Amino acid sequence: MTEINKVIFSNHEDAASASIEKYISSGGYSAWKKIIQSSDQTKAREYIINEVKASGLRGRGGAGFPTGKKWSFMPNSGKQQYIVCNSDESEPGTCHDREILQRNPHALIEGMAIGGFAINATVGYNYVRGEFIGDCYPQIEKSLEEAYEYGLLGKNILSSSINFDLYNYLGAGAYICGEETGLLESLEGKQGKPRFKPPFPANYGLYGAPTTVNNTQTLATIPKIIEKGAEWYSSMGTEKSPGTIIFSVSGHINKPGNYELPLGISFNELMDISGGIIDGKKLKAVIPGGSSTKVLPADIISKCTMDYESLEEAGSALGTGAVVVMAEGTCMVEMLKRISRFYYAESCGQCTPCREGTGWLYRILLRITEGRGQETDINLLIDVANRIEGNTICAFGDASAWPVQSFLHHYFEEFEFMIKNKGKSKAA
Amino acid sequence: MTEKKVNITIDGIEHSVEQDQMLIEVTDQLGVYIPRFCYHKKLSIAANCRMCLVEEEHTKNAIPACATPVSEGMVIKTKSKNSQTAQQATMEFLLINHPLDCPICDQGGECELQDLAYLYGKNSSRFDIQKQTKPNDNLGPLISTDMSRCIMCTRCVRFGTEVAGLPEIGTMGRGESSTISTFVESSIDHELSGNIIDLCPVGALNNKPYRYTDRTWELDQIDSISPHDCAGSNIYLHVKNNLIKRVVPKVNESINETWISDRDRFAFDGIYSEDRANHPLVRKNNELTHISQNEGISMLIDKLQAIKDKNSISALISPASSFEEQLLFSHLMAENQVSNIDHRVNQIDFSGDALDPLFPSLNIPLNEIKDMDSILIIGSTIRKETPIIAHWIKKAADRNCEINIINHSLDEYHFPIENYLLSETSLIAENTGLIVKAALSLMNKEFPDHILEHLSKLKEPSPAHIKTANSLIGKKSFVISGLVARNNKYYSLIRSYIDILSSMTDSSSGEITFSANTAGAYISGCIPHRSSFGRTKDIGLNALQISNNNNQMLILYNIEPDDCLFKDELCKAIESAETLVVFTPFMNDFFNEHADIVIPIKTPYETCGSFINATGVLQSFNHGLVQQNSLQYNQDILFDSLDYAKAEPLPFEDIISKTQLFIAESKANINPNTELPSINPIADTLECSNNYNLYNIDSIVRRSQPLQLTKESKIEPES
Repeated sequence: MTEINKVIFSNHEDAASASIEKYISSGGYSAWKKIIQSSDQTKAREYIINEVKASGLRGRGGAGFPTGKKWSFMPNSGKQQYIVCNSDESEPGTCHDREILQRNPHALIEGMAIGGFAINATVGYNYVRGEFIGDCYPQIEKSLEEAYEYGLLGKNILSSSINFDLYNYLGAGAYICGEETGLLESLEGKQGKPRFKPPFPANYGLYGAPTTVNNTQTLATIPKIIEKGAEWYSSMGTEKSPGTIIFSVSGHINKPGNYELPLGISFNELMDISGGIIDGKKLKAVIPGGSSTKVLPADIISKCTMDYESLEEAGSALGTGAVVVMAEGTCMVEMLKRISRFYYAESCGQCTPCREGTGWLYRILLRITEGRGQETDINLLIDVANRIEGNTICAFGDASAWPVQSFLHHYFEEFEFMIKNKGKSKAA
Repeated sequence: MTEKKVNITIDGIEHSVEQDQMLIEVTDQLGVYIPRFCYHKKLSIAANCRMCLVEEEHTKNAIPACATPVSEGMVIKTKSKNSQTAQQATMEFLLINHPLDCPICDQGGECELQDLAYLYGKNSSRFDIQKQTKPNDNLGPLISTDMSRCIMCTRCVRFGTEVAGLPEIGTMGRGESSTISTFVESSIDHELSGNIIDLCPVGALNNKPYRYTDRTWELDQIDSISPHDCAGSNIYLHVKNNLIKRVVPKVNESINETWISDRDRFAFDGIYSEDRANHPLVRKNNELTHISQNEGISMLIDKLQAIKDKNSISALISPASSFEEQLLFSHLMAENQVSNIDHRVNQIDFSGDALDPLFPSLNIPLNEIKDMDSILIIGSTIRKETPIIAHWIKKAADRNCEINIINHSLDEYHFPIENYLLSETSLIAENTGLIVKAALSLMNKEFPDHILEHLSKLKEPSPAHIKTANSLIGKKSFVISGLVARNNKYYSLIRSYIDILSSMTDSSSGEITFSANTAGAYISGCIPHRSSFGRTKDIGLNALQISNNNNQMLILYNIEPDDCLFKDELCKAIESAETLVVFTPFMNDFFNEHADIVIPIKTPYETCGSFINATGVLQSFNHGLVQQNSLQYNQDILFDSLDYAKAEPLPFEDIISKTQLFIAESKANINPNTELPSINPIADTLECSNNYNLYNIDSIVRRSQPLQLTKESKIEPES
């Protein structure tokens, strides 16, 4: 049996896990303190970045870009630089960052401090999803206060020459602010509309200054990597996808929830850990990495291991690790309509194809499910999706197109059936 | 400096092009067309319309030409299937929610969406779902909105932020429900706001007064120069059936770029006001009765020549009249021994006349203002006086030029101001003097004793004066005065201070003047103390003295009492003059009651001529098409008058080249004046207010209905 909850969720079961005392008693902030006490800061920076590179940690926000490499892009401009944490967790199906903010906030704070130090950023912002105003935000605010009380943040930390100030910032509830440049715009007080890239944030980020944006889970992993070493971390997972990732398993599953597991475990084992399909039903399909990744039918996903390479090979992606499980009987047309409605509602409206196309996709799907579908609608759906894909400033356009493309690729006959039968679902 | 070159291939042809350019700039220069909506060369890059997507051989997705810098080895295929697919996709998306109301849309025929739809659109739409509609905002009397037509290119929004400098509209909402709007419903009041009409590629923002009047393809286009301020903005008159239908900017990168002010755009409506003077009139039995033009001219000249005391004849001519009219008019007066001639009806301090330059000028080209590092503005509400010159100053400010201001009112500016020396009107001169004094203390320069003595009598400069003076030293700096200074009781002193300050700090300096042709009025001799082209003459009475003179005959050429700073004095002169002769495009109560001879003239929109702008650029215009009435050209009226008066003919054939030579020579020989006005002005009892706002500055603007409906025109005059 695979061991679960080794890194970020190592103190997961403890009710008081969020408190700073608890965090420190289990080795927390030791990595940060070690860095503060280091005699040679330049060497310490090099050490951190090399260690993160060696750990093989990849960004957990969805794109999977190697974190150490991303940090190494940051210049030492001599001016103010920023580290920004993307806690705008909004990808449908994903809910692990929320749990980190609630249960292990100090891992994130420590991770941001270490990351900030490594990339010459003395100011950090934690951009928290607007909907987290009720539970996570008060917790992370309290934790930030604790960290300041303990002298772990601020100016001349623990009498060293190191400065790091951290601020939490509550978004206003927009999926697009999870796109890193949309997030930076929002953080600057503007509308959350992604910027055209290049320039990338490492050159032109927050307020035009060099900035690195990392995901919550990525940053919360850092302290343990520095504390226990890259070798320890990369000993988990596979060679190409080392370490652990939190899977947010949802859908027709007996024990939905967040499971921190080594990368590369088989899909079937993940199903066992999360209690199997409800009512003993058969698996129909899985969206393996959040709603914007492509859907995989049961026969394909069952042969997959849960890592970057395997899922990519199968034609999808690991994404955020949000595993949406669909049992037999699920109507794929209804499912796609629901997903498309989300993208229709969340498009920022900046680029023409996405602004106009997402609404068009949704309305076609709506009329199919309402029994008003036309024979030409399937080709139209594919064509509209193809015309959005790759033609927009940010990846949102792609994210809205991929589900349409993959659902129609794998479940064409369900759409055809529904159109012919005036809204009757083939799955029912 | 050598520009780095990169080699790129466009449609199979290799080019070596300068680095650090966007692809669309390169293709535009090479004449390869890439379609676009959001891209505009004067605005920042938005890359949001996605119309300019083109295929690059090494890149998976099509790239936006407007936002992709050229790089070595790029292979661009603007006509390939992939490029076309991407562009056709964008066009389809743009059209799905766009209303099919082209037949009633004013943009029809000059619509970028319509044009590109012919090239990239389909014959029929695959979108059979209900189209989105969006609510329209009331943006005031100048701009109409049909927001359902909006394609969200955000040119107007970027214009507000980047060019106008005071964002008045923005994008609201997200996704399909995104709209362009004012945040809380309000009008758009910026003096350059009309430019968003031209920027809007579709019919969402349009010219409200022009709405539903004509189709664009029926209009003729005539080059012209705006007659309302001294910038000399280049414009096109769009004309149908000899009537001006609208005014749009004509590109002139060294004067107005692609912009014009709302005043330039909407003022022409004033020429169609009901009180146009259409017939020559003469007063008989206290009634104005029709006469012929020739009768009018002969009556005028006969009376003029019958008056023995030439000092009791006075003439005022507008600085908004063309240079040719001014020249002929001043010649007509000179030939009849009339030396009381002036155009300066907005000036009350004439003590510095002897120190006057040959003509007032900014002394540097408008497009060099943007390169300044420090600008001091003295006595000017510059945004209202000359919106286009204010725009050039904003461009300097965008480059971090330090701007300091001395003025009597605290106005809103579209650029940051370092020191704002808010000063009572009567203290503008003193504050200027204190900056001179501060500059003197910061510099080691020799100055004549009497100036040092004069400065020593002033009080000590404040830190703000010292900081302002310091900002002019050792940098590319520019000191500029405006209409408020010209109105000032101590105008001559202010101007001398500025001259001394600029020679002390090696700054450029200059003056913003009234109307389109104050410089022309100086050169043509429409001043009491100099004849045309700077020649000396017997000094006559200035405008203020004329108003207080016992006039047997008063001739007003294109001047109304409302144009005048000392309106009360002028009205008294109108009432008391034995014979009042008016050459005027418009009638008003004073003329109806007191004019003895009325000779109607055309406005600058209808006649031909030239203006000399604030930087000494002479620009000619010829409006053969726009005939408001069957009247003669103004120049011909004056030629006829000269003929009748048996005056020495004025050599007129090469007058333009002669004038240009004169301007060039005087510019080359600028002797910086470092003298103080001969007589220190004594505070007299004349109380004048700056009685103009943006939209009452001349007789045409005052009669323009759209402009008179704006918020700005409702602003009460300062007292």
